[in-house]
Amino acid sequence: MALIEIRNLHASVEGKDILKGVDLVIEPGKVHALMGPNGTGKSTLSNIIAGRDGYTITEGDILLNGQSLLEMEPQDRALAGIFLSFQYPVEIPGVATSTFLKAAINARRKAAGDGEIDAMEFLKLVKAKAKELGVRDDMLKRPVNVGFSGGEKKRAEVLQMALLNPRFAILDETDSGLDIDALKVVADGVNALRSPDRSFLVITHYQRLLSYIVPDVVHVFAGGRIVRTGGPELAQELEAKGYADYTGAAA
Amino acid sequence: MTALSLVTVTEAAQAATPLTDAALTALRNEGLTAFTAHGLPTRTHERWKYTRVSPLAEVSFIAAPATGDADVVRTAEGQALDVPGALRLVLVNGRLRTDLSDAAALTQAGISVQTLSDAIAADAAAVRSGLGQALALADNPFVALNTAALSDGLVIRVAATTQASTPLHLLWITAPTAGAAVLVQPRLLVEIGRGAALTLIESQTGRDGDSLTNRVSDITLADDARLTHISLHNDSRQARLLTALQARIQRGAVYDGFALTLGGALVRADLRVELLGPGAEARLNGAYAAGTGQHVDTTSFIDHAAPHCTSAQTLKGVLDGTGRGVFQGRVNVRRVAQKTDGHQLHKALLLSRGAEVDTKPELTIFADDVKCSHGAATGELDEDALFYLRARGLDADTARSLLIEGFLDDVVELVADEPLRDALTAKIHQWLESRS
Ligand SMILES: Nc1ncnc2c1ncn2[C@@H]1O[C@H](COP(=O)(O)OP(=O)(O)O)[C@@H](O)[C@H]1O
Ligand SMILES: [Mg+2]
Repeated sequence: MALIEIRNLHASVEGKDILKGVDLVIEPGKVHALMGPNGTGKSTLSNIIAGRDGYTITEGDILLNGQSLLEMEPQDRALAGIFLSFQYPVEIPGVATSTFLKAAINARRKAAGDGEIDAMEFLKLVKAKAKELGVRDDMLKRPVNVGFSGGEKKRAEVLQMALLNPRFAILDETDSGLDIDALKVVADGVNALRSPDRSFLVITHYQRLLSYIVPDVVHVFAGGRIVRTGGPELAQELEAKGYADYTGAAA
Repeated sequence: MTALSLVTVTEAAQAATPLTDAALTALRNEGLTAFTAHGLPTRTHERWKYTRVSPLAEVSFIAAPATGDADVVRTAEGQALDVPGALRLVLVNGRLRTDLSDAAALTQAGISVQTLSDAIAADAAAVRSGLGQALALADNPFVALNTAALSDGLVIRVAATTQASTPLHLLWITAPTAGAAVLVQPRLLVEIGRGAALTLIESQTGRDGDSLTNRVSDITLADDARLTHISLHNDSRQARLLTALQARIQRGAVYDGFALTLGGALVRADLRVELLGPGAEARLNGAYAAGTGQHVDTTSFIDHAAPHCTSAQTLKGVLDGTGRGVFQGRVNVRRVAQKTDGHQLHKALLLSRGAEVDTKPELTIFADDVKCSHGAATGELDEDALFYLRARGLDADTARSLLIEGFLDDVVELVADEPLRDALTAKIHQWLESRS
């Protein structure tokens, strides 16, 4: 069975139609890339999958393991295994990153019927993962995303993903703001998480990231839906030709 | 408006504790005259525009007895700040209880701690000169009333160049008598000598019951002195707490204040700070939370009377239920006070429709070369942040609590000392746990 299935999804914001019939099936263990021009609804799709309110779903459904997500609260979706690496991670003054990470881990443990994580175990776990992803210890003490550079924010997102072990992760432009070294570190982090029962949707403008995270399937997204699907070679074609072919067709 | 019972109790206190010193006796009488002449402030009083105290006229007060068994302290400890290593002085209904205090607090080299009455007996003139006059009796009815009652309280003097290594912790406990409303009117004098430094912690706590604590603090910082002053107002549900602080800060001295208000029906802080010599600095930061049945008012006046002085005030409040917050802040920059750096900011987080906050930051500037700013912002919980937390699996209540805690903890970051910060954030955490 597909891990995630999006069926003819239509959605609008404040009366404006954004998603116009998205169909997408992702099998367990697969990495799909979603590429497309700005402002066409990629982040909208991500947010709707994660359960953000403010959108009106006018048609269609989103299924995780055959179960509809649409009526579920964001936290229940997260606990069911959905993870969104935000295009714009939110700054939360006053809440230390480590406090936040611990709360997120404990929410998951609680849902699984386990007790809270032991303080020492938590520190060991977080420090090890943080090191792998080049997240400095002092960032863990600082408030969530406050004063982080663009690249630091994205690394912190991937750190969260590594700690929360999702079934399905959406990386919404995780490569933006990263220099080439950071890009490699982040890609290594994602690749380390690839497994037969975990799937990814990697949203990006650039083929660059996809040389490090090699996708199984590439989709072109324009005008609120998927307009073309192919293999990794499609990403290279897009890199060479740009999106001009699609921006017109989408309107 | 007259408040007969407040006058009667204060008169009785005067009669019970006659002062031999003529000047102080006269000062007491001035206080009583001022209070009886002006009565309770009404809303036409600019400094009391948003805080109604007229219901006090209806309350029948009695003088607070000098009670306090060990049990009183035990309850208070749960409400007070927990700063490991601080030397504790326990004051029950305004009176020092040496039996409940750390003996070492009274015997530190270079630091004199006396009850107000002992200090008056030893040197009345010195006490008289330590009493500030910035909060004029005619304009400040509660300072007048406190002055009329002058006898309970504490005098702390730190000798020049003494660097106090251990914080002093004043644990103020208001212990009402069952079935009656008690009036407690202590006075605190703090004098930090030239180049000396002290960390002073105050925790105002109280037992359940009806009470009015009207506490006035007079603080003097000599040249290059430093006072770190952390206050917690965590009184019981019915308690009313009026505090007034007048601080005189001389050349190069630093007053670093932080106040956290969590408990009490009415908590009013009247702050009057005078920056009197070049390079003097004042920080008056704080955080508060007010739910249904709570009214928290911070009214301050920072007077830049010398050049090159700095003042900073950041206050954050969380209002829930029908809680009410008030911030009236005025920064006055005199003509001589060139190169003043003065900043003031109030931020409120409204958690319910019934909650309300009134803010009035004010700048009056008579010098031309200054850097001053003030601002006020009122908002609700950040929806984006809420979604972010929920997308990580936190349920809505936990996410909200974390954001509220973060909102308040954020301003605690302004406290430089880590153990003090930890003590404050622990109280905020305790408050959040108790409300859910
Ligand atoms: N909350 C919103 N209110 C109004 N318009 C929105 C909102 N969110 C997104 N949009 C609009 O939806 C369109 C798609 O945006 P988005 O999903 O962010 O695109 P992408 O991620 O592909 O760049 C844009 O035109 C954007 O302006
Ligand atoms: Mg986007």
